[in-house]
Amino acid sequence: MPITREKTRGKAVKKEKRYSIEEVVEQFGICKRTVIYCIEQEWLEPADPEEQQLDQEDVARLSLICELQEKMGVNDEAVPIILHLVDQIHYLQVGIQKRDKYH
Amino acid sequence: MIQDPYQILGISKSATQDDIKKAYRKLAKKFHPDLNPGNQEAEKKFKETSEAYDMLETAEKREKYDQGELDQAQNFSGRRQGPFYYETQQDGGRYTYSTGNFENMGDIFESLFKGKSSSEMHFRGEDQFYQMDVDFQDMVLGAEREITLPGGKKLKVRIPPGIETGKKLRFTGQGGTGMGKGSPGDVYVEVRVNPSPVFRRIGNDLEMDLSVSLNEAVLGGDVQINMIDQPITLKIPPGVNTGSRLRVKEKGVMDTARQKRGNLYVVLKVVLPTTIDEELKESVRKWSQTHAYNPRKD
Repeated sequence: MPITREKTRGKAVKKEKRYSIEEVVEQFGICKRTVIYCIEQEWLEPADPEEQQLDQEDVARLSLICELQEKMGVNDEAVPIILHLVDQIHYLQVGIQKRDKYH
Repeated sequence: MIQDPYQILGISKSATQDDIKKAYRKLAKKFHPDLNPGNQEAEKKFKETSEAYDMLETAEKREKYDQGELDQAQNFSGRRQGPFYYETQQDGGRYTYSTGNFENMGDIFESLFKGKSSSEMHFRGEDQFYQMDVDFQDMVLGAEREITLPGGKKLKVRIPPGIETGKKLRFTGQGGTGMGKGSPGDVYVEVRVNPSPVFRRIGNDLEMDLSVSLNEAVLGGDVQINMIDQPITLKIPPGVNTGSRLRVKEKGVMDTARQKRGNLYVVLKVVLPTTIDEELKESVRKWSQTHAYNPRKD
């Protein structure tokens, strides 16, 4: 069973669960072509690249990419820029958390 | 009561499909949780707008809604599955650390947190924690001591009488310097009271053991004891025993609330001379012939 958002709200999300591309298509309603395209563009780096298995992080990132493109009209040029900025925000947030924890 | 999707999207009922799409995209960009990580309000708004859009997304769905055939509960087919991306990265995810040229991010932190090139960033200074040993005597009477923090800063510490191990004294604003307009942090000094080889603390009272000789126990007498702040003379009444507890009023720990010291209790222990000579034996033998008693009677 995939971990649904409701169950994970407010907590660190479990990352162990792996999905094949087919499972992602089936369970998250994302089309196969999009998944493969995201991997080809290196927007997505599957947790297990050889077996093409995606983890929860990959799926969440994939959902974000789909939403950026389908719901917000972001084009292919802007997607990697947004992802990079979002990743930097996360990196800084983790840094601030660590700083607050250890000082 | 289901909210009006037109209202949620901020459009009129006569809006075109294109207007609906535009309105939705505008709101999605504004409220998407990954663009507002941790903002519950934005997440709620995003959900609402997504649900509203889902009802009006196509001309068919919209027509059904307008005719009252659809409500959100039935219609919301596009419910999002799985967590938002930011939720998977909260304690640092693969992408957080591996994407892009992050080798230099350490330098960015340096400049951010050292307050150079970051005039817009304001952080409260760090709180600093230290530990301090307090002499038993200072605990009983209270004291003022100066401590030197690593880095050379000196702090005057007022030790309140009766302080207990583990208590933290706070020095507001004495910690790390704030960044930008951030206020300085605090210093916390955790106290550890050194135990006394002589005294035991029981609440605000003190207890100590005192050895007394046979003659002191039998006949009574005055004994000098070195109390914490001054020597005191303890009057031992005749006929005390091992375990007898004498009270010395107001020689314990200062109770600041009551402005009164607790008591000192002296627990006596009768100690026979190291060598029992013939004279002692003889006198006790003589005494016991007429004064036999059984101390185990009870």
